Amino acid sequence: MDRYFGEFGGSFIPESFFPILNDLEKAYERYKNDPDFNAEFSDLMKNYVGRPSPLYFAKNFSSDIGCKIYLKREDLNHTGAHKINNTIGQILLARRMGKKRIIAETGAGQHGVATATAATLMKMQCEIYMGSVDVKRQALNVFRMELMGAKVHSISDGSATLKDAMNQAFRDWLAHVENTYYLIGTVSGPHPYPTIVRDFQSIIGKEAREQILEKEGRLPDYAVACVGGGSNAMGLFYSFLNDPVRLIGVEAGGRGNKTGDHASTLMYGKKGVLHGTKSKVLLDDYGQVLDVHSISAGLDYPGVGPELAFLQSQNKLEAVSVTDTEALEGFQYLSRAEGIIPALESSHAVAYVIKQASRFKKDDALIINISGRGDKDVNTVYEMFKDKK
Amino acid sequence: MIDFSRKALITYITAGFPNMEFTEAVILKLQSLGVSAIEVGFPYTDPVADGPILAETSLKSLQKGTNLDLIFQSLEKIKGRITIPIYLMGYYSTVFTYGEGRFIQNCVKAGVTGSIIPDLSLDEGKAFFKKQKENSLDPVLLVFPNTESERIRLIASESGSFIYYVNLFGTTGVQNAIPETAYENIKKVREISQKPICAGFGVSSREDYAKLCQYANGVIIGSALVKRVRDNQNDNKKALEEVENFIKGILG
Ligand SMILES: Cc1ncc(COP(=O)(O)O)c(C=O)c1O
Repeated sequence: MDRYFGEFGGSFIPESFFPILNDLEKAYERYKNDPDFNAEFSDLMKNYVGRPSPLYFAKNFSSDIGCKIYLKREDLNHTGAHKINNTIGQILLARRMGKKRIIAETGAGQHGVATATAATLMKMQCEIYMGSVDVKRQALNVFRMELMGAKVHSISDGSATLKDAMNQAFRDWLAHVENTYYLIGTVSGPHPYPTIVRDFQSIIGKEAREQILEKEGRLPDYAVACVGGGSNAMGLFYSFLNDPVRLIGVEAGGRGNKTGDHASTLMYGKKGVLHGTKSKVLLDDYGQVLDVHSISAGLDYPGVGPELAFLQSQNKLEAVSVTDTEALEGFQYLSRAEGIIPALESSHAVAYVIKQASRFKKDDALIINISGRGDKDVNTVYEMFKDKK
Repeated sequence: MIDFSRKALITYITAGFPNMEFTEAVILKLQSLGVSAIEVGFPYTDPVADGPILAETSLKSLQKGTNLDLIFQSLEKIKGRITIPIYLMGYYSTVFTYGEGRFIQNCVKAGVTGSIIPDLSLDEGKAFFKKQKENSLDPVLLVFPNTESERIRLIASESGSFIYYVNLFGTTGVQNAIPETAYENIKKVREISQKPICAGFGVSSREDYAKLCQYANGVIIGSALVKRVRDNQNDNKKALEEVENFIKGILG
C-alpha cells in the first residue's frame, strides 16, 4: 500500500503507534478483498444504512440555476450523514482485529453518532472526544451518542473544536494503544487511515457514477462536495478520478479570508504536518497551527486529507470557498426549493453552485454531494434567525 | 556528548516559559547543579504527546511570542558558558515548516548537540537524521514498551549517541506510574544494543530516579521539574530556587 500521495501523506507519529498502524494496514490488506468481510459490509450498507442512497434530480434547483443538478442523498443514510459508511467499515475491521474499545473525535457530532452507532451494534465500548464549543452547537448529537451508550468527553482546550478533540483522542490512543481502536472520521491522520477511510467512502461515487450513467446516459461535467477533512469529497470524487469530470471542493470561507476567520485549508494553507500526516495545513511561519472559524462544526478544522492536497497540486481538484452567510443562504434555499434541509457542511456545496450560477451552462450536469441532513443544525440556525427577526 | 561514565540526569524545560530570560538562567542553573544534559523543549500549539503541564507551559510560551529563532538566539548568547550537551526537543511540524536545513544550520551555530523529535520515526526521518549526523549533530530516537526487537535494532543503529527509552504508554506528566515492565524492557534493549539508554516519562521522585539508574545509563525528567516552574511562573527567582531544591532532592 502506498504511504504517500505524491509528496503528501506518511505517518508522523510516535514510535509506539508503529506496530498498531502496521497491524491495521495488514488487517486492511487482508480483509479488503475478503468475500466474507465484503458480504458483511454490503449487507449492512443495504439493510442497516439504507444504501444505495438516491441520486435525485433536483428539478427546481436545476431550473433556478439553469443546468442539470443531481443531489447525492447521503443525508438519507441511517444516522443522517455519509459518516456511517466509514464507521461501519472500520468497526468490522476493528472487530476482526479483536479490539474491544473504540475512540473517535467528532466536530459536527455526525462522526461521533455514526461511531457510537457502529460500536453499539458490535457491542463495543465507545468514547467520543468533542470540543466544548461543538458540544454546545451540536447538543442534539451529543444526546444521540449518549442514547447509544457512548461516553462523550467535552474538551475545552484551545479553540475547543474539532482539532482539540482530535488532540485529546490522540492522547487517549497514546495511553491505551494496545487495546483501543481509534476510528478516525475523515481521510486524514497517519497512513493507512487516509486510504482506508477513502475506500469505505468511495461507495458514494461508485453508486453516483452508475446512477448518473443510467439517468443521463453520460458522466457529469462537475462533481461538487464540501471539504472539512475531505471524506465525503474523496468518497464522491474517487470514482471520477480518471474521467473528464471537474472536481470542486468547497471549503469553509467563514467570515472572510483573514487568518482566523475561515477554514479554507486547501486555498490558504501551506505544506505542513498535522495529526500524523503531511498535507496542507493552516500554519504560521514557525509551523504553529492557526485558529480557524466556520459556522459549520464539521468544517472547522485547520488541516485536510493528504490525497486532496495531492489532487489539488495536480490540478485535478479545484478548491473554492463560500462564507458562513452564503452557506446559510444555501441551507435556506435548498429547504425552500426542494424540501431538503441540508447539513450546514453540505450547505457550503449547495451555496457554491448558487453563487457561481453563471459558470454552469444549460447542458451541464452536476452532482452535488448532500453529505448530511440539517436536523442537527436547525437549533443553531433558529437561534441566528430569531435574533434577526 | 553526554558523559556516561556516571549515571546521567537529563532535564527537560519548556523554552520561553515563563520567559526567555528564565530559560537562559535555568539552563545555567541546572548545569551548575550537576545535570548531565538539558532538553530544551520548543513549543507547539498541538502537543499531542504531552500531558497538561507541558501542554500548558508550551501554550503560554507561544503566547509570549516564543519561536525557534528566539530560542536559537538565546542559546547562542549563552553558548560560551555551556559545557553540557543541549538537545532541542519538540514536534516535527515546527521543524518541517522552519526547514530542516535551516534548523540544522542554526543548531550548529547555537552550539546545540542534537535533537529529539518524538513524532518523527525511523521511516519518515531517515534523511533528516542523516543530515544531522553529517553536520555532527546527534539525533536521538525513542523506543517504546511495545517496540519489537527487530525494530529496536533498527532504531538503535539509527539513533545517535544514546537511546531514549519511554517508560510507559501515555503522555508526559503521569506520576507514580513507572510500570515494572520498564526495567525488564530496558534490559531487553541493552541485549540488543551497546548504546547507552536513558529512560524517561513518569519520573517524578528520587525513588524513581534511583531505581531507573540501576537499569539505565541515564534518567530524563520533564513535567515534574516544569511543574516547579509553572507553580512559580510570576517569580523567576523563586522558580530558580524551587528548581534547585528539586534537583538536589533528586540527586540526593
Ligand atoms: C454532514 C457532514 N458533511 C461534511 C463533513 C466534513 O467532513 P468531511 O470533509 O470528512 O466529509 C461533516 C463532518 O462532520 C459532516 O457531518
